[in-house]
Formats: sequence, structure tokens, C-alpha cells
Amino acid sequence: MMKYGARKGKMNFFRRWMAKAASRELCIFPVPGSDVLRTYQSESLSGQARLTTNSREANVLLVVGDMSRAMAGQAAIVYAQMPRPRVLVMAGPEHLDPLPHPDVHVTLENDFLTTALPVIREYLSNHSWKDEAEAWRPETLVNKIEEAGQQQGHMHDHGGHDHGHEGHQHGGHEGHDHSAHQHEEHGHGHHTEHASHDHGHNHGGHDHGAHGHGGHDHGSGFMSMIAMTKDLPRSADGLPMEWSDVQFGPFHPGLPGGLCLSMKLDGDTVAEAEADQNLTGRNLLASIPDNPMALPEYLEAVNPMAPVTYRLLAQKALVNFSSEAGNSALTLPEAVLLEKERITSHLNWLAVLAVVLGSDWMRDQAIKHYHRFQNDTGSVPQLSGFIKRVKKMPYLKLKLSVASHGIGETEEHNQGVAGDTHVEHHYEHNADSHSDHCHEEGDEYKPHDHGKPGHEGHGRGSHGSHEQSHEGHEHHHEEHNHSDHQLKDHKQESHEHEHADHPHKEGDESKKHEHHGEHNHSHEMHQHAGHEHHEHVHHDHGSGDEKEQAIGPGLNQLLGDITGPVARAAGIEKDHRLEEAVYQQAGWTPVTATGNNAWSRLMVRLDEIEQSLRFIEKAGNDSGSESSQKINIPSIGMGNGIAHIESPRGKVTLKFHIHEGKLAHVHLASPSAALAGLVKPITEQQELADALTAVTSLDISPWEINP
Amino acid sequence: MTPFLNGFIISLLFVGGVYVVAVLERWSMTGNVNWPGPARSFYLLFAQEEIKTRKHDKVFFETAPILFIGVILLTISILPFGRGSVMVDLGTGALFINAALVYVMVSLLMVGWAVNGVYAMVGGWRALAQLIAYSMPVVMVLTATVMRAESMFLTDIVESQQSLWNILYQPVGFMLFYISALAITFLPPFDLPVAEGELAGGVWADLTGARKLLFRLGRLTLVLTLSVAVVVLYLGGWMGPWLPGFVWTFLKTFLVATSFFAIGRYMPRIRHDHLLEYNWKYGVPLALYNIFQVGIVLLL
Repeated sequence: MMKYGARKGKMNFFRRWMAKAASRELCIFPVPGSDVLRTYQSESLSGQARLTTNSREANVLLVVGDMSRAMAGQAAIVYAQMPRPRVLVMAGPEHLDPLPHPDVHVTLENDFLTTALPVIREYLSNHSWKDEAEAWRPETLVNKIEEAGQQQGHMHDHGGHDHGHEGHQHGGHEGHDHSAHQHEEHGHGHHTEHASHDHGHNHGGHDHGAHGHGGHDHGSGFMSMIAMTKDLPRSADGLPMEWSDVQFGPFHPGLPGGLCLSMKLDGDTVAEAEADQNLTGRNLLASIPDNPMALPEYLEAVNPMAPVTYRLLAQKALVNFSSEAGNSALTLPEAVLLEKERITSHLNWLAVLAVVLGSDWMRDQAIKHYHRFQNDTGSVPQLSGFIKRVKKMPYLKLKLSVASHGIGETEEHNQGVAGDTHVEHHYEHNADSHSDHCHEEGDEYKPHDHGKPGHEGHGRGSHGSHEQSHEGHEHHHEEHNHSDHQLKDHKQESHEHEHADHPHKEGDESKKHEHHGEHNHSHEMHQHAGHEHHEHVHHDHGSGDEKEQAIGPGLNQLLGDITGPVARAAGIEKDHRLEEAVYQQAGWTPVTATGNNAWSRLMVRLDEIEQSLRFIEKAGNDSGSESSQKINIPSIGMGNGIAHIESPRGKVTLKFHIHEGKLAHVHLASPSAALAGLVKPITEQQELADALTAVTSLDISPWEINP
Repeated sequence: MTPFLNGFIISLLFVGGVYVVAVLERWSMTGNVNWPGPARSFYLLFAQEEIKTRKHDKVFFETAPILFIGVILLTISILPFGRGSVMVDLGTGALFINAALVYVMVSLLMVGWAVNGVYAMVGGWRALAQLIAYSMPVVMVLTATVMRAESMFLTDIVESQQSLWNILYQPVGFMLFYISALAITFLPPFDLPVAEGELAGGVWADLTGARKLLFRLGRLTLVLTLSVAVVVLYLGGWMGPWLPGFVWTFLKTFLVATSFFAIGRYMPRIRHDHLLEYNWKYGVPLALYNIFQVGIVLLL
């Protein structure tokens, strides 16, 4: 009991009193993050405990749910960093290697903290000091320190010989992550490695030369500054600087839980950054069940950030597979469910963004409304009032717009909602007019090509494959009443044809539109559907050249891959809901903006929340539920199932192959993988705070990235 | 009231004031008023193991917390809480405030360097940038208060506001000092050196136990000290009807401290390039204007 969590020593009267008093203040460091923890809480913790942004402040490490071994390794480092007394709590798994066995284990269910908190208090109150307390040295940490040591060679010690935890030397600022950072290009002239420091912080050479221990390769004679800095990397301004390798995450307070960024910092400017995609939270798709009928529950559990979307996605794909089940299009109650999840997902994201922005009020309000809407007790006027206040928050627009990543400053922002006075262009597609848009139907055939959309010579358009040819397309344009919106060119950003009720049996052949001419059509995937025409919504924000300029040629290709609010905040009108009849009937059009910066992403999401509220309101008394369509999976035979849903982060596609009644292959295309690809270009040469804000504004969910 | 009793009550009020500031700080962070919260936090840090990072700079690691809290205590000692209720009535009091509080940022830079961690180091750099941003406007607006009082004694500066408080006499100066005071206390939106959501505590990210406790206590004391300074320099110090002078001082001080935390709660963190830009492009010219305006009024 608290073998690794207690401080070493006897529990005398004073310590008992101190422990009891200190146990009233529970500081929880949630792993993988507070956003994940919130999904299991029906209300904020207010008063009972508080969440900390730093593991050094915490006395409770709370592991929420199962996670991959790589991420558990990071959690182990965080645990090793925490000062004692500390309690390890696991909600869900009974043990996660390499973490030690938890002091407290609870079932992962809603409001599990209610039962866990009294137990944690009791542990801290009675076991904060123990004679038999032991040091804990996770192998992960030891290995990392050794690795760091090997990379840096030997380093000087500054005399801090008395550091570390009681009974063990410790460090490795990694998980949380005051990370193990190694300066590049070190070349210390002489070395004194102290054996007793083997397990210390692997902070490496934080310019130890400046501490009077030598510096870089200097001997006893004079060495000029030029010679000393000749091998150092150059900043953008040409100055030689030591760069630091720093890890932000996977449990960083200002990033989505589980997301890990590796950065090279040139001072406080980001020289390079990338999202680590090998930490995937819950071993996504690593242990897919054989039974297709178990897929909805499995996917729901895999992604805690969008459980409804993933469950529905699996159900729709199963319906799509099962020929008897009929149409797999969304029903109104299902759409209501999805919109409710969109609201809570955006609010949860807003809470994380508020943390990185430093606005405690925004965070608290976002959390409050998140819990209310999660419990179906949300007040629409109050939420609308909150959104209005966020939009008017002093300085916020300036702060977020400046960090525009150099890819456009335009702030034109439009919202298309049924009944609103915004620009709307509707394109109806039918057989006859399809060729008018230069869909050259020379048509190569490609069976089951559902991969990422291509970029065959298109600025942003992405062209996928048509599983079956269209009857044709016909466009029409609605009148505008939006004064500041100049239409110079009508471009169809994307359209996707959902053909849900068609089981794609093996051996089927499909047509693929290889290219679509000068209209920049973006056909991601056309699967057959049985409906005669599609309605497309389009907001035009200028000519093609202007768009190109606003978005920036360097990011065009990346932006072509992305969907969801990030794409829509860049003026790219990709939204799978346009293909769903239930949204078409409601006259729904997507929210777009052209700022392509953190501010426009915020505005798009805030407007999407309001739009979802209106959609739910229009749905009337339909509180949202899943359809009870019968799904029949034959025990023999084979076939494919496919479904698309517009999740809060973008379009998610599930494809699977069933062989003899069992799942043989599953492919999940999620928006976050593409969003993670944006990390590098949007952070380059940004100040650290801007870079973190920009990454958070993408709303990457590491839970849906499959390495 | 005897001087001893007076001093005792003021000390008690000050200690109580630090606690109230701690409650306010908690409110600004959580939105809830939790009176026992700060005491529990104190016990938690007191019981917490102290971790020293590997390869830390021993000298800076040990001295930075002492320097931090030391300079704040020095500043308190020269601030008058009432007529005759000042520990050291320094002839260069107005200048001393600025000189002493510079070392707040110096100590942050020291601890940022000492712990040998990137987050702390970046926090230290930010502290330095913050110091560069506000140091010029703050000394210039202090000059304007001295001009009116024709003395650098803080008690004289309070007395000079007998007819009209400086907040009305030199509103531009008040505004600049108020913003600078927020920056000196590195409270949100000027919490760049600690930035919880970016640097997970920055200069404090790696501190635990007693060292963290010293810094936390020091910051709370600093907030109270700067609030008293605003009261002394611009809000007529101890002046007010019916109640004893020191009561007025503390009432006004809590009002200022509350406003400090309220602003931080409702504003996003300022970018450090904006902080530098605004202070040098607008703050310094405004401070010059303030001196000019006060000079003209004095001559008329």
C-alpha cells in the first residue's frame, strides 16, 4: 500500500496531523488529460479536488482508461516525477505496465471520482509516511536517461549532488513534460560523470559552459566566438544558437490529452515540430473483435472523445454491408445525437484552448456548459450568451489572428444556417449536367479505392473514386443577400456521394473519376446511393487566385487532405453533412471562414455550436436516438461495408471486409491523421505560445490516429 | 492607540491580507470562493517532498527564493499603512520601490536558469522580456508622483493627495502604473513567466515543497505589496473619513487586489511581443505626456 507513493519515515503525531490536513487538498494530475477525464464526469470537481497542470504540484496521478504501452511509459515517467506523498489511481485497467500497481483502482464509469476521492484521502491521511517506502525507478526512465547520456557524451555536473527523491535519484522531465531536452552540437571538452547521478534528470547540457564548466570544445587557449559557435545551428536571422529538443505532451495541459509534440526550440521560437503519432492512446484497431456486431461498442470505447460518432459509424457501415437492412443514411434522431456530440466536443475543445490562452473564465464556463449539455440540462440562451462573450472578449481576436502562421489574414467569416441571411450556393447534381463540369467520364475503374483523396493537379480539390457512375449533375445558385460577399467564381469545393444502401461485395467494379477539369471539383468518394441528385452548398470567398494567395501555396496540398472545422476555417467547404438527406431537408449549410488562423477556427466552432443548437431545436421533440434497423450478418460469404460521418473534427470513414461472418480487415480514415500533418507547417518559426495555440486550435484527437 | 498596538494590528492585517489575497487568487483560477483552500495548499506543500533537479545550479537554486521574498519584504518595509505607520520612512522611497522590485524578475530569471529545465528556462527569458517592457514606464510615472509631492518620501506623496487623489490628478500615470503593477506581479494576463497552459508553471514548473511554498507566498505578498503601492501613490493612501487610516489603506488595497485578479480571470494572456511593443510604443510616450501634463498643472 503506497509502497512507492509514501515518503520514507515514521508516521509520528506531527506527520499524521500534517498528512491529514494535506489530504484535504487533492491535486489531481489526470492522464491522458483533463479533456478525457471530463467525458467521465457529469459535473466539475468544484471544491472536492482540483486538477493541476503540472505533475510536480499533484499528489494524485489519475490514469483514465486503457492506453498503449508507449503512453503508459510516459505516464510512468510522470509518476516518477511527482513528489511524494502521491497516490496512483487507475480508472479502468487494473495494471498498466510499466506503471506500478495502482494504490487505488476504480471501475471506469461515469462519476467514478465520487467513489475514488474518499479512498484517496484516506490513503494520504494514513500512509503518507512509511518506513517501508521504496524508491521507484521505471525502466523507461532509466533507458531514456542512458540514451540521453549517450547522445550527449559525458556532461559536467554542477554540484547538485543532493538531488532526487528520498531514497532514489530521479528526474527525467518527460511525461509532463519538462522534457528531457538535449542541446544539439555539444562538444564538452572534458567530462566528469558522477555515477551517483545515473538516474537524474536528463536535462543534459543546458549550456553548461555558461556555468563555468568549460563550454564547447575549448581548450586552455583563447577561442573566438566565431570558432565556438561555428557548428551551432543557425536561426532564421542567421545567429548561431543552441537548439533544444523539447517534448510537449502527451499530458501537456494546453494540448489535447494524449497528443505529444516534439519540438526543436531556437530560443522560444519553434524551429521544427511534429506530432508523435506512435503514442496512440488505446491501441486503436490493434485488437479488433472478430464479431462484426461488436464493432460499434468497440469503436465507441476506443475513442472517448467522440463515442457517439464512432458507434454510429460502425452501425452505418454494418447496415451498408447488410443488404437486407436498407438505407444507411442518417435519420433525424441520429443527426440530433451527432449534433449534441458536436456541441459537447467543441465545448471540451474550447476548455483546452482556454487553458493554453490563459483565460480561466473561458475554461470554467466551457466546462460548465459542457457538463450541462452532456447531461441534457443545457440552457440554449446561456450558452449563446457565453459564445457572444467569448467573441467579444478583449484582445482575443488580436492574439489569435496575429498567430496566423503566415497563411492568410483575411477575416471574412460567413455562417450558413437555415434561415440565416448568408450566402448560399446550392448545386444539384444529376446525370445530365455532370459533364458540364468537365468530369471527364473516360472513367477508369478501380475497385474499392477508398484511400485518401488525391490531388491531381488541383489546388485544394481532392478527387477520389466513384464506385458507380453518376447520373449527372446540375447546379443551381441561390440568391445572395450578403453584402460583403463578392462572388467571382463558382467553385465546387467538394461533394461526396453517399450510396449507403449498397453492399460492396467483393468483385464489384467501380468507376473512378480521374480528374474533373477546371472546375476544381473535389469528389472524394462516390459510393452509390440510389438518390437522384445531390445538393451542394458553397460559400465563395473570392477568385481562385485570391484563395490561393490567402491559403498559401505551401499548404494547399495539406489543406486538401483535411476536413472539418479546420478546413472550413480556411474557406474549404468540405462537410459530409451536405450529402445527408436529413440535413438537406433542414436546409442546412456549413459554416465557413477564410481567416485560416486560430481565430477563424474558434469562430467556426462557436458558430457550429449555435448552428447545432438551432438544428436540434428545429428537430423539435426528437431528443436523439439510434435507429433500430435490423442488421443481419450472414455467417458465410463475404463483402465490404463502408460508412462516412462528419465528426466534430471532420469526415471519418470506416471500411471493413467481412469474410465468413468475421471481420477480416478494417480501415478507419479519420480527420486527425491529416490534421497532425499540419503541425509542422503551422508551427515553423512561430513563437512557442503561438505554436501551441495553433496546434490546439486544430483539435487533433490522438485517439483516432492509427500509427 | 499605542504605536506597539498599532504595529501589531497592521501586522495582523497584513498577514490576514496575504491570506485574503490567496483566496482571491484561488477564486480567479477556479471561479469559486474557497476560504480553507489556501491553508490546505500550504499544508500540502509543507508536507511535500522537495525534489532537486539533476544538474541544477546550486547557488541560484538556493538563493533565488530568498532573493524573491527578500526584496518583497524590503518593499513592504517602506510603504506607509497609516500616518506614522511606516517601518522605514525612506528619503528615496518612491525610487526604492522600483529598484527593489526589479529583483523580483531577476530572481525569476535565476530560478528559471537554476533548475536546468526548458520550461523554466523559457519562463526565465520571458521574465526578462517582461522586465524590459515595464521598467521604463513605471519609473517615469513614479517621477510624476514625486513631482507633485516635491519629495520622494512616500508619506509626502500621500499627503500631497490631500486635495485631490493622484488617480484624478494624473489618470494616465495611474493607468500606466496599474498595468505595470500587474506585470510586476506576473499575474494574468501578464503571467508569461509561469504560463500554466503553455509552460506548466514555467519558472516554477520544477519546484516542489518548501521552495515552491516560498515562491507562492512571495507572489501573494507581492500582489498585496503592489496593491498597497497603488493605494499609496494614487488612491490617497490612508485618507478617508471616520475609520482609522490603516483601515482605509487595507480597504482600498483589497479593492485593488480584487481588480488585479478579476482582470486576469477575464483576459487571455498577452503575447510578449505585444507587451514589449505596447509598452515602448505607447507606454513610454504616454508616461512622457503624463510628466508633461503634471508639470504644466504644477506651473499653472
